[in-house]
Amino acid sequence: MKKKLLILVIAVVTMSFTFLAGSIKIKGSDTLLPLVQKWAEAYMKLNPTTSISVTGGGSGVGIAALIDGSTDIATASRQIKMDEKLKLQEAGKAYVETIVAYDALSVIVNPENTVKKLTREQLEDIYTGKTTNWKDVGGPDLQIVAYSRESSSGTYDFFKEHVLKGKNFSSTCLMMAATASIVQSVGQTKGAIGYVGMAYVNSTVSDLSVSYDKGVTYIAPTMANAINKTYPIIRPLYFYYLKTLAATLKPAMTWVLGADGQKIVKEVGYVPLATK
Amino acid sequence: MKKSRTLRILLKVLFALLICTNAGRTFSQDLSKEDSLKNEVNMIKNDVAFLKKFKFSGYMQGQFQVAQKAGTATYDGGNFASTTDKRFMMRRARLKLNYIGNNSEFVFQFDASDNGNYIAGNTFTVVDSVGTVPGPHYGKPYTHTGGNVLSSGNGKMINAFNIKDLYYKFTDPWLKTFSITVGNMNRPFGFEIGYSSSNRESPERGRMSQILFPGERDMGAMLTIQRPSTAKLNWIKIEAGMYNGTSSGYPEYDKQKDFIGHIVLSKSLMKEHIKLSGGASYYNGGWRAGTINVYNMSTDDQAKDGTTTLSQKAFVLNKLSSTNDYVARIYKGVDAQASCDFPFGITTLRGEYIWGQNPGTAQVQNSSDIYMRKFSGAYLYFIQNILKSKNDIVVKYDWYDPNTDVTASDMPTTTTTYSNGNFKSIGANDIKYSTLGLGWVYHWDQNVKITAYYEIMKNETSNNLKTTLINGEGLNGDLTDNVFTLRIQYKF
Repeated sequence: MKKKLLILVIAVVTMSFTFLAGSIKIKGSDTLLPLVQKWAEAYMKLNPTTSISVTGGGSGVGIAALIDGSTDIATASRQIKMDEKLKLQEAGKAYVETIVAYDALSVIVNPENTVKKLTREQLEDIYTGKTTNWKDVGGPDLQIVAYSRESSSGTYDFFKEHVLKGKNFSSTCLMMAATASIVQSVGQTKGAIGYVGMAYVNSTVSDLSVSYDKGVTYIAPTMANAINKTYPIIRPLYFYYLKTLAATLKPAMTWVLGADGQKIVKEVGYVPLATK
Repeated sequence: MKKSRTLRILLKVLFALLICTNAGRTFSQDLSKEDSLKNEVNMIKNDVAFLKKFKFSGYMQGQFQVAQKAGTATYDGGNFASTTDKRFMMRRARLKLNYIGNNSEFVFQFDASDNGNYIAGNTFTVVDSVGTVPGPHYGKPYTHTGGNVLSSGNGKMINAFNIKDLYYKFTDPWLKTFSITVGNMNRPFGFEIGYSSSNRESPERGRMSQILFPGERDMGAMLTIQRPSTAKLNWIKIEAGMYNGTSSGYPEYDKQKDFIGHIVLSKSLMKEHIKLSGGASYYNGGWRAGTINVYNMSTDDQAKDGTTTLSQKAFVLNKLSSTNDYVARIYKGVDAQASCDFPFGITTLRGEYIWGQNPGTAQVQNSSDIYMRKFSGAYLYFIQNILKSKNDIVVKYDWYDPNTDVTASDMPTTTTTYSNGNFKSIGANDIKYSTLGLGWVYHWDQNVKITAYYEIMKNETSNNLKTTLINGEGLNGDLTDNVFTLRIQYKF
């Protein structure tokens, strides 16, 4: 009887300790949100004692949370900025930067739009306000309504640098806080155009093929084209965390970067690591 | 039989009705619970959104200092008392409140430290009469003979509680480009003035900054032009303002308002591995003459007033027509900062050079003659983070030459006086000082920073200034005035 009681006590205590094991807070990029949520679900299933909370807000928001200590992992669709590095140094925090996947950026339009492809130059003209009507790019006589992410977004930074070649967005662009809002707005507005991570594209919008050689070849934003590196608008996605947490996060990071984690990358619609 | 069957059917219908009603009530109860919860959440969100407009921040800097000699005169938090070469002090204790509106901001910051507590019986270098070091005298003590009353030699109360920032800022809601700031604020000149003491790697600003811009702040109004972060040309910022020119805490006493302007360009390069910034500043102010006597530095090696020629340099009298006349205070400055993210850690270089003409900048009107001097000064910072650790090493070199028209070799003997009232002698206040600072900064975490810093002060020397004593030492040799500071800062 006493032996059984002892075994029971040991079991209860052990279970208590296992239930006390880790929690991980992840915050940042909206682009990474669908992927990180899937990772979190899958990882928590394999590790029931680990609790993972995931929130978006933008790459800048995530890195700011890393600086002030309110997140364990900051997700970002752009590299950390020099000002952010200096703030981390001022706070005495050494960080680790890891590429966890790649993302192809899709340019989306309303499904009723007859335009199916654009060159980079045409995209630049649309987003800088030079081209304001779809008829100027072979489409219907319809005012262009351009949607963009807000400036705190890594997606915004990447689009500005790689598609607009550093030029500034037109003041007529509608800035949206979240990627899902862009998809929704483009799906509801006939003349709308937007840019989102490929994983966010659904049946309510159409994606465009893009040419980076002035219209000689147009490449569609498909997984195959992202994997074979022909699709031009592709970027790395990052995790940032503090060196002091490296040991604690190692099991999770190893899983994310391993075969199981990268399989989910492809399933969600991002480009897995091994292919770049 | 038929009746019992009918009754059973009726009962079943009644029962079914009862279930549906309760289900409906439960469903509507659930809905109203959900609505109630949504309402509560919305209320909480609104409250949180309002509270997030307030931001409290602050920092305290406790430190221990060792000077090379008791009574050392220093710009590292004020002179040491004549009877000690070591001290603990709470150098700064700041609390700042920001209220951030939609297109506006209110800022209030005060300092509550023991800076400026001058106790009866302590004697310091006299600094408030004619011929002393030009420039304002913030933090510089005086000969105090009273009780434990805090007062300056100019009769100004120096309190242990000082308001630092007190201003509001409004930005245009259309272009979000033009901002007006009104109140007591940092003067928009150069880089070091506006760089927070909580972030700065050396314990104190350079001698030049402390002399030219006492308290860093002044009362006035400033226009800022900078495009929003999403816009083109966001990397250019222009600030221009009009100020009293008396520095923070001192009331205006003349009609002259000082113009201060600063333009700064800032860019990140090489995919955020390099950040470069650079700026130019201009200060154009006036100083109401206390008397009609303004002494200008002679440009010749032999000063002359039209009838008499001296054998050395000196100040030469230039009378004004009235005591309501003004003499110009003109400063010009250039500054640059560069940070590079190397694999062995971030390297930061900062430099600033200021030059101009300075009529002396006491905070209150006095009846002293004015001595016009051309000055120059600069600092250079080198900060290296060690292998992306919590450690930085700091090297800083700065100098201040209060009179660029003279060198130590021009110094006359201290007994030189001129019977001709048109000349005034140059002297100890025209000596150039330089400081080499070596430091180590440890960033414990986002709140705590530890700084160990040693400053080596050098001054120009002249045998003719042997009897000009500072803390008992003549200026014929380098003064014994190095200072070591160990500081722990808490910031939130």
